[in-house]
Amino acid sequence: MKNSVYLKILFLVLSGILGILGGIEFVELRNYKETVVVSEDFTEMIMLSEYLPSLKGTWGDTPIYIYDSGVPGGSMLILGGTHPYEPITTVAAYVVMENIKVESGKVYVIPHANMSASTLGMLGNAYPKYFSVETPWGSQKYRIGDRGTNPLDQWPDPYTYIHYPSGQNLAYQDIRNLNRTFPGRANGTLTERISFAIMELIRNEDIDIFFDYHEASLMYPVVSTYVAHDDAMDIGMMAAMMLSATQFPMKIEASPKNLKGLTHREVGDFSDALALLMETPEPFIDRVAGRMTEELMVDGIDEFVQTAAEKGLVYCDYDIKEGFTDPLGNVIIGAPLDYRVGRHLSGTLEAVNWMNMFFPEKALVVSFPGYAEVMENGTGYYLHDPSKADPSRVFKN
Amino acid sequence: MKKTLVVLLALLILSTTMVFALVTGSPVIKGQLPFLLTNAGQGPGGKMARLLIWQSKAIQETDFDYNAEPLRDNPNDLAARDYKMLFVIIGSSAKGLGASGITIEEEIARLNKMIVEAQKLDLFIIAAHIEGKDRRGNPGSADEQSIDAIAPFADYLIVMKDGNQDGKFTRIAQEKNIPLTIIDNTIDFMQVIKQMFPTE
Repeated sequence: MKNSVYLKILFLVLSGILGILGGIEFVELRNYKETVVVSEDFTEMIMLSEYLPSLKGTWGDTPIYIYDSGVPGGSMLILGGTHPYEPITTVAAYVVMENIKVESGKVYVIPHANMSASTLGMLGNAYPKYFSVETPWGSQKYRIGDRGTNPLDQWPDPYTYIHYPSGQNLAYQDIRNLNRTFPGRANGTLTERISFAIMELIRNEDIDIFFDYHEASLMYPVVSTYVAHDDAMDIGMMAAMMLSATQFPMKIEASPKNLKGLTHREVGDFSDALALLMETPEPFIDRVAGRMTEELMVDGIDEFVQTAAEKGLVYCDYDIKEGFTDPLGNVIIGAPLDYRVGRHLSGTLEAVNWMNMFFPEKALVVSFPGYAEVMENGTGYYLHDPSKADPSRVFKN
Repeated sequence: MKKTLVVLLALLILSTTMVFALVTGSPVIKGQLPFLLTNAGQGPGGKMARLLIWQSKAIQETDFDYNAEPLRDNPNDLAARDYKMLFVIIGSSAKGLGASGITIEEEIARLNKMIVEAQKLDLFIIAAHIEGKDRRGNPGSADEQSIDAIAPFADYLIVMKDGNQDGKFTRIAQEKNIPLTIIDNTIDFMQVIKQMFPTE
């Protein structure tokens, strides 16, 4: 009897220790800050709560980086980190922020669209907390977040999520999925309020073209694809065809009218912006992938995804043995970080080019490294050393 | 000035691509106007083709009509004008089928009906698969069903090279004696249109 009590106490203490050790991991991830050195064309950083004050002081508030040329022209908004377990989207946004030159028009970048989700991680799925990008001056460490808003910030989930304003029933967990809560509402859940604030930004600043960066599993048909709202189909189609002929394979899909809450549908429907979403291939999130390691996130090499590819079950080029050759002559083995970052960068530039052609009145003249440059020099080459940068251009996210 | 430069740069890139565009296989046939442009499988290829036809400036916008789902609601769609050709862009998309609110089985049934009607009206049927291997699938997939419903009944085939890696279109062309023109990239479809409708 006495031994049994001691045993219970022992297990209680052990459980407590394990809980504390696990908790430390979560607290560390929740508070880790990424560093970004903004380009010389940077003009101002404001918080998303400027567009919806109720976000102030919450984990839904997030920085917006503005690059205003001061010259009349078009305007663009880029979202990274709508789904923070697709973290290359944030890295691509950082490469834009660190290197962009704006000759005419105005650019807004939100590298962590769902800041709350970026602080959660998927430790229960044995995901690593971080991954690093090698640079000429050392390595830069970034968080691997979750798909949805942190339950610490929005909880509990309902049995059924009813999308506002359509009333469409969606999966319960999608109430914390930022790419299911657009156009949002001012008095809704935290995720709906983030969506609403982004919509307010788009409407108040007259955004002409909107990009939502994503990554997709290779077994999802919409991988390596633009998803375009009806109004953006022509520029998306021309951009996809040009990219496929000259840089890398890029598909295009129309935004379904009857699937609600997604950025490419609701931003197009509830504003005048041309809305595009882009998906790169991320083997890390394929259901069949093996060990969840930092190397898998960076190199995108997985033998189980390879087997799926050999059986014709993936929807993009993937070969970890001999690779495939892009139109520029690069041999792509797996789906490495540089390939994925480069795709988002050139995917953006090409669509902007076509917007300028189809809508000269919205012309936006911007430049930043594209796919060819990133494939040649590596992503790290375009990330700057914060210790040597002007402190006024160094930000923590 | 800067806007002009951007437009010129984009046109330069486009024209460079055109210079190196590769159109091989059977000679491009002479096109007839007006024609009805549509798609099989509800992929975005039909809209891409429409855009490339516009961009080619080889014909007037009024020289052809685009209808994503002929015969779905109106049994006279193929006879709505004095069409000479039915131009079908093959390629299926789950998002496209979802957007139309139909299943692939319903789509195939409509396509079968469309082919019968086109043959009855003696329309020249062109089947084009211009999105490459991304619109190919395993046997029985929506893409393959769409190809099987259209390609063997065509009078002329236009196919992007990497969509024919398994030689399926070559086999259909040989078995049915259908001329087959091959393009390297989707954007080369514009070159085919220019050859089909030469401007003097």
